[in-house]
Order: sequence, then C-alpha cells, then structure tokens
Amino acid sequence: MNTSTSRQILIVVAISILLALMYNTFSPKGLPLIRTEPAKTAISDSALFNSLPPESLSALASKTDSAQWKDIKVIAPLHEKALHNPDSMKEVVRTNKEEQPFSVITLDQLQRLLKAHRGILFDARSEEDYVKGHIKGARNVPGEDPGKHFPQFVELPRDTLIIVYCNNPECHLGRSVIEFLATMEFKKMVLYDDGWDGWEKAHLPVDTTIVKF
Amino acid sequence: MLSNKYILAVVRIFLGSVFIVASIDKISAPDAFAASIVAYKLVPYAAVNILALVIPWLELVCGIFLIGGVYVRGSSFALSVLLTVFIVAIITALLRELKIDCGCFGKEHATPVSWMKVGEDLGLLLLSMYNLIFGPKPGHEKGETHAEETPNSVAF
Repeated sequence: MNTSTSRQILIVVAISILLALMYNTFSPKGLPLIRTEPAKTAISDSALFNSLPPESLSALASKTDSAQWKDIKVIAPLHEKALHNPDSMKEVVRTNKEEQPFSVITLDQLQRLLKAHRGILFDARSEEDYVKGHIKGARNVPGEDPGKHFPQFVELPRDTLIIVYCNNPECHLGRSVIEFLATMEFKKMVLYDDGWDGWEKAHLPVDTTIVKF
Repeated sequence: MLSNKYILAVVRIFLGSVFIVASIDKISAPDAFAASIVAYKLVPYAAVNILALVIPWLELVCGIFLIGGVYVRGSSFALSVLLTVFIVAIITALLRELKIDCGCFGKEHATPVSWMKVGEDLGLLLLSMYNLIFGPKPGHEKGETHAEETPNSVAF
C-alpha cells in the first residue's frame, strides 16, 4: 500500500468521525460519547409486596382480566392528564433520567407477583416473538413503539404496578417501554431483567394465547 | 478483463448504494444501533457509543465516495476492514449461540444473525477487495473518473 492510499483512508476516516461528532452534537437523539452501564436497582421483597394496599389489589386483579379492561372506556379528564404546572415537564423528565423510574426484580419475585395477580405484565419484545410464546397473561407492548398503546395506558391508574420483561439484560426494549411509561407519570414499574431467556432457561410454561388490550 | 472500468464502476456503485442504505437507519437511530452492538458482547461498554456513532457515518461517507468515484481505494479499504469486523462479530455471535439482531441494516430491517448474513458480508467483502485491488490507482483516479462520467464518448 502506498502513501496516497493510506492518506485516502485517513481522510475518509477523519471526515466520518468529524461528521459523526457534529451530527451527534446537534441531533436530538444524540448519545453521550462514553456509554455508562444502566443502573440496576433491585427491590426488596418487603418493598415490592407491601407497596400496594390490599384493597387495590383485588381491583387490580380484576383490571388485569382482559375482558373487563377491554370494556372499560374511561376518558380521563384533561386536568388529570395535564401536569399542574406545564413548566414542570422539564423537571419530570430530568428527575426521571437521574433517578431510575423502575427497579429490577428476580424470577422468584416475578412469579410471586404473577401468582398474586399483582400488576399488569407487559412483554416488550417484538410482536413476532410475542406470538411465538410469552409469559401467561402478558400483553405485548413492543419496545420499538411503546406509544402504540397510548390510549389504553391513559385509562390505567398511574399507581398501577407495571411489570415489564424483554429478552435478556442486554435488551433495551424493556427499558424503552418503561421510559415511555415514566413520561406518562406511571410510578410503580418493575423490570424482570433476565427476561424471556431467563424464563425459558427455568423451563417455565410458555403461553401462546394472545392477550388483547 | 477484471480491471475493466465499467465492471469496476458497476461494482463500486452497487457497493456504495448498499452501504448508504445500510447507514441511513443507523444514523437516524443511534441508540438502537448502540443496543445492537451491546448485544454482541464484544466491545467494552464505554466504547459502544463512539462506535455506534462513527460506524454508520463511515459507511455513508465511503458509500458516497464509492458512487462518486472519489477516494475509491481509501473507501474500499475502510469498508473491507469494517466488513471483516462484521463477519468476525457475526461468526462469534453464531458460535456463542447468541440470539440477537444482526444490526446490519438498522432496526427498521431487523434480521437475526445467521450464516446467511455471513455469506452476504463475505460477498460484499469480495466486491470491496476487488475494488481495492483493481480500482483506480490513486495517481490515475482523476482520469478514470472522467472516463466514467462520459461513457458515451468512449463507447462511440
């Protein structure tokens, strides 16, 4: 290889790096140059299982029943959806970014939650994967487009316990669903981080009935 | 025959188009591409974002240069290196039995890693190497580009 070819390579690489950095600076979807590991906050059993008062549990259990939830057509009054002070939106987004809006749960915790019919289970994987098999009772909220079910999310009380899972700890789809719900002011969210891979590894039942919203 | 400038032009325009198409989605959604890189578990976590930002732009810049017939050897070399890295990454992912998205063409065209993908990338690598070896020598590039820009005058 002669010098002018290596000079060409240098130029090509330099132009790419320059454009990439410039684009990243001005793009709204810009990434931090150094990636940091997403914080994982575990939650203790007592905090998890005592977080909901018993009376709201039965209400939630009936809510998770798909037929009932489907029939409920609540149009939330505007004042409930709106923030008290519009300027506080920035604050909400900022605090959500700093403080993680969710905690990570173990398989055991997940199973106990499911057994007790606590919360609503969301499968953040793609529809294709969901159709092939999922955890019983899970509704599909693809992490690529969590806003797809916005009208249904609006109907849910904001203190509903939301349980999300994805493929495995590397999967960003679950976090994407949680981030979306956090901007909708959902307060109680947990992520089963080992996800579908963990569920399959434990040889737990695979369900193929599609739960509709 | 192999250094026929029309064949070379067709190859580099094809290669350029493939990489431009591959880069657009990744540039528009760097976070998704970064997640794809993380899934391969090959790169230290801190370095993922830099790669996710620079790789698509490298693909785009090389693609444009290839189509335009500028810096053909430099671009072909850069793409050959990239493709080699992709091939090694996909093969190791397959051997480690990772069920992950290839990330090849961005999240809009998600396809799982497969030996088919390795084959595709090998084909592209072959074309890229062909361009690198038989493409215009840096000194002669200008003349070459000129001839390709006015193919009719040469044909008649």
